Amino acid sequence: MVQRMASALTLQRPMPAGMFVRELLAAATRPRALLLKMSFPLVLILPLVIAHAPTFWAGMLLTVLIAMIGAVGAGMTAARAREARLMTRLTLTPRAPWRLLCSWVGAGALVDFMQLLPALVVLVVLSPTTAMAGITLLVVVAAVLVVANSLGFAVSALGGGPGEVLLDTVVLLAPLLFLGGLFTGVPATGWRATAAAVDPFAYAHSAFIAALGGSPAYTGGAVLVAAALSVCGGMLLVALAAPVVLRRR
Amino acid sequence: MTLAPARPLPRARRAPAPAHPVLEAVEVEHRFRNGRGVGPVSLKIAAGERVALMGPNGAGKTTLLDLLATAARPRRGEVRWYGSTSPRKARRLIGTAPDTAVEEGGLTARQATFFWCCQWVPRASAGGLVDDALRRFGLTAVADDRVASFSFGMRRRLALAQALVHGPRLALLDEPTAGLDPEGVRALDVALLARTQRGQATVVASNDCDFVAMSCTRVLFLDGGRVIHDAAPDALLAQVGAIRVAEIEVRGRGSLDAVRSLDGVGEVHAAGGRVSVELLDERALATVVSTVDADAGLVSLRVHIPDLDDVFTALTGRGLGAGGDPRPVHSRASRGRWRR
Repeated sequence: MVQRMASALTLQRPMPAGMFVRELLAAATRPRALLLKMSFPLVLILPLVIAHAPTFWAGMLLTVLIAMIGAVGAGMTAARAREARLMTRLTLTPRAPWRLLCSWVGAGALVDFMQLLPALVVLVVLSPTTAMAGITLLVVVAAVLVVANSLGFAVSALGGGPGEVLLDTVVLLAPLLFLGGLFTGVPATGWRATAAAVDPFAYAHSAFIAALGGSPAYTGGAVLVAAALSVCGGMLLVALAAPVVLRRR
Repeated sequence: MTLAPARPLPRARRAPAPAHPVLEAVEVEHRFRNGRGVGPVSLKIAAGERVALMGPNGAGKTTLLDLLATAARPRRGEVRWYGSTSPRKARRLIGTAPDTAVEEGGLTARQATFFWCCQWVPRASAGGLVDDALRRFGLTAVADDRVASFSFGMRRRLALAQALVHGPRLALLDEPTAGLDPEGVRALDVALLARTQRGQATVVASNDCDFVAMSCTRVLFLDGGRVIHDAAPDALLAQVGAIRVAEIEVRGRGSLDAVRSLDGVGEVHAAGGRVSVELLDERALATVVSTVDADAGLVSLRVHIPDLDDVFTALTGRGLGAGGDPRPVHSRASRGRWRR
């Protein structure tokens, strides 16, 4: 009887064959952490939406939030995995490093997206915005999370423990956020306009402004194209950095 | 947590007779800036061999294991796995266990082992292999418990199960007995023997003299990053002979002349209530004990049996666990303590 119950229990448990499912399962085993992470963006977004905060600054805060959640979370995860020698063990499997790391980044971005989803839904529902702007926001947030996770993993290749990786990630993110026009807006012309045009955080900022009912710098179509390109760019970055990220001791 | 009863060895997965050695290192060298590391080292490992790398801390055991496992690239020389120098191809044939306890997040032992197995084996055939590996290392009862709840020793068992789950043709195990209880060591011994019967080679980096003498067919002594001796454990032990030393704690002061005159007794030293008797013939032990007891009153007895540590000491003047410091022969506390 006990054995039957045990085998039934075993059958119910999903078995991870790849990195993507493994990371999702690992995240699912920490429901309290997931719940806390879900409530964190909610408590930030709710006051902003209810108080009708200026859309530019609210958008800036939320873009910084998703950038930090994605990049810092991924960087810390990578640093901890390196300390636990998981990276070395993965290197010694016959799987291609880019494949392992892209799956890992994809899983990390999905978990981050799930944690942000309730807050984003609240934002879209409570804000005076169109359904298209809401969908665009969800798409670009997912894309930016992929980019941020990729950056976090890539930065972790610089080495050091979780603390150092945190600092390295912030040092990399700060100029990217600035170039995306989050603090000053995107100029119409000049090199900063060009820099913002290739910076995925600029599009996330724009999508947040649109979703909050403000005047965005980019159209919805441009944001969606940028989101698709950002995912490709992020994955390319991870694929190129994968051998170094996994081999770094 | 109990070990599974002995099962007949699976007939499948026997490696084909190879045209090349499983592993061949040719003048490999990997030195760090501080001069530590390994090399130049040359060695060949044949199918079915169980090879131990032994040496004091800093001798280069783990570095050599890293080179053989493709975790590091040699600065000079080359490593060939079945005649190929491609690390990528080699990884299909290799299984490794780190010298630490594994961390698997919130996964259960079965889930984590399944994941590692699927890196080599198709998903469809992984389930049976996982069950088999967990059973072999006595982890069946806790297979669906989270690894995070495991003790250090259980995590070490899990690391070994994960390293061997896919039946690698070459297993590289770093300090495999560290943290294992006697039952775990026995399970490992059985697993390695089964690997030999399937023609699979195993390399362990370990200074566990008992385990190496029991489980390995060949020992490589490393010192200063170089292989200083390469022989079977029995051949190495034969170099120091079968001389045993009985260390006897006594109550009073006797002349010990009677002990010195016994057959099968070599040198006898007495100092501070302790008598050290060299036994040229182990059958002399009973007579020595009764003579010392009658002469000075026996309190406790320890018999030191020569092991691979003594062989290493005889070769280098330093013990395996001394971290490179010189130490006198036969100074190590040994097994076989008896107290009155």
